[in-house]
Amino acid sequence: MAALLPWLADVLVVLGLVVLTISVFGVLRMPDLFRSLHAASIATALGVGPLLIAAGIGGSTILMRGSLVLGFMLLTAPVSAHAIARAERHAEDRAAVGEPDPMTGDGWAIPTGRQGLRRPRARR
Amino acid sequence: MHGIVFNLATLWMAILIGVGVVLTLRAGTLLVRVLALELVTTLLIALLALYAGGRHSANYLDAALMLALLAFIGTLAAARYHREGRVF
Repeated sequence: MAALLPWLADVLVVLGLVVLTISVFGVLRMPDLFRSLHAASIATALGVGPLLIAAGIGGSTILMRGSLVLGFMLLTAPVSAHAIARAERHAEDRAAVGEPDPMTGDGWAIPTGRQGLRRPRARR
Repeated sequence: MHGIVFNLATLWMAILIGVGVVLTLRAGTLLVRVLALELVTTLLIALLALYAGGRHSANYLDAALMLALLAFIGTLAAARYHREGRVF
């Protein structure tokens, strides 16, 4: 049984790498932010999880600390994904109403000239 | 895990991180860039987990935990700034 553990670790590493590759490919290919968000959210639980479990086969200390990392990522990944989706939805609503974008177009908020240096309007 | 699997997996993770950095640099909008940067951080955490397994050391996971914390705070701050024009 103990001789099988390195092979189990290999299988878990390959599984995690396959899921991470699918996730990166999804973010590369999806045309929409929401769909690429869907692809990116897979990487957290199904991609990092098998890698951490494969590392935890080596010893109990690594297993405990790895479960700490995995628990933290499982708690925080939906929150950040929800924040990104909410910001995108709000930007779409703002564009539909025809309000000016406070972020100076669709890219970074790089100050361009006099207008770009103004502080963006605070909105609720 | 075996040494050959560790080496090949590290190489593949490096390729994936390179693709993620290119995605971050070539993103069209701010939110796509934030998303790609968070994906790169997730890949870095996966690389650190791989190293913790390959080198039999738990110290790599401390760095992974810090990286997860910083990615969470950074993503939340950027998304809130994009939505409301200010962070707090």
